[in-house]
Amino acid sequence: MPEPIIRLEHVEKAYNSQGKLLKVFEDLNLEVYRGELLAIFGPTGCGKTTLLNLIAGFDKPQAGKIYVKNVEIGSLPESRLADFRRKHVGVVFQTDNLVPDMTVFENVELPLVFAGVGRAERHRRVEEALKAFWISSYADRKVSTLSVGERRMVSLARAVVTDPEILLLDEPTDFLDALTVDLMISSLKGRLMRGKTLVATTHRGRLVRVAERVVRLKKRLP
Amino acid sequence: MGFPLKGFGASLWLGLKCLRIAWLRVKLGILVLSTIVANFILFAGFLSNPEGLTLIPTGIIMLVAYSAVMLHMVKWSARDLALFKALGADRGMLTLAVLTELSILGLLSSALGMAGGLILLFLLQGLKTFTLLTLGLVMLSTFLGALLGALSVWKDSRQPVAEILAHA
Repeated sequence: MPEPIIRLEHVEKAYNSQGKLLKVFEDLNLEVYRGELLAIFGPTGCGKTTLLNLIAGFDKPQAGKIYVKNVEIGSLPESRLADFRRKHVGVVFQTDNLVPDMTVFENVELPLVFAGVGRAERHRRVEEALKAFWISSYADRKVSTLSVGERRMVSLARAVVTDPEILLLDEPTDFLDALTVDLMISSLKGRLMRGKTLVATTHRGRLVRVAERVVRLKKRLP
Repeated sequence: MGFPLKGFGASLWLGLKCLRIAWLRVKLGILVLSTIVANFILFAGFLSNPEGLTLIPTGIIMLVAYSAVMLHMVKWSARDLALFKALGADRGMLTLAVLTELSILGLLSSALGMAGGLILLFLLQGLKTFTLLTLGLVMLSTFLGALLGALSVWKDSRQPVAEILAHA
């Protein structure tokens, strides 16, 4: 059994909604193994995005511990957490979260700028990432002019450009036609993804079929 | 905490990019800020004793208006800043980037406002009164406004990314 690269221990997460405490997770335990493609499957509102936010360190649990590469991310100060994320974790958001007035190239370049990578190296790595997701020809186009599928490919290129070991994908196949989903899945299995750990949320079957392991989340009733 | 000098190059790059990507917001900001400054220059020019105490309250009004515009502009870009944080920018980088963006914006607006105000003043009554105190108050407003905007980012960026994105 390979060693877990992500480990959640007794995690509790709740949101305050109109004065009521809505529990999303109670005593959640999960291990994600190095190099696997794990699909987190479940209906809308079951906490899939919350789970990815917790693993990425975008959000904090009320109780429990989250270890990524044996580092308890809740104990990291803000600047070290940013540094840690920059080096080890790439994220594809459900809503893409690209900067619409920047070009495709500039959007993909952003994480490398924050990592302090030099201009020549940045250009080389951005071009490689764009090529891996078949979007080289869009490099100079503004993101606001792209289709949903093209924007998703830009998000993927941006997530892998820093060569992180862990990729978190939030509903990567949402709003995409079958052809684009196939293209994306073949990209996820491509050369640039070799050896990476992928955690993808989904409420559709296509991604579940290609995943090596599936975790099903149930929606908690209020 | 990453502040103040880590990633200075990245902050500068980001600050300049933000000026370009938010061009519509920047244009609006320049228009409002330069109007505030031009009004102040005109008012100061019409005072019989511009070194006197009457200039101070007017200067304070300009300073408050200037800071309010700068803070509002920062709130507009909350989503982008949260996204930059999610992509690995730390709080220091974001704060410096915003300080760079607002300083350039402020300097440009103040220069335009002063030029416009002085031209109007010259046309109306001949250029008689433009003192160092007037210039000093404009510069103080410019940098204090930029500083307040940057401090607001420093404070807000303490929240978790998920929370900022949810509310942006």
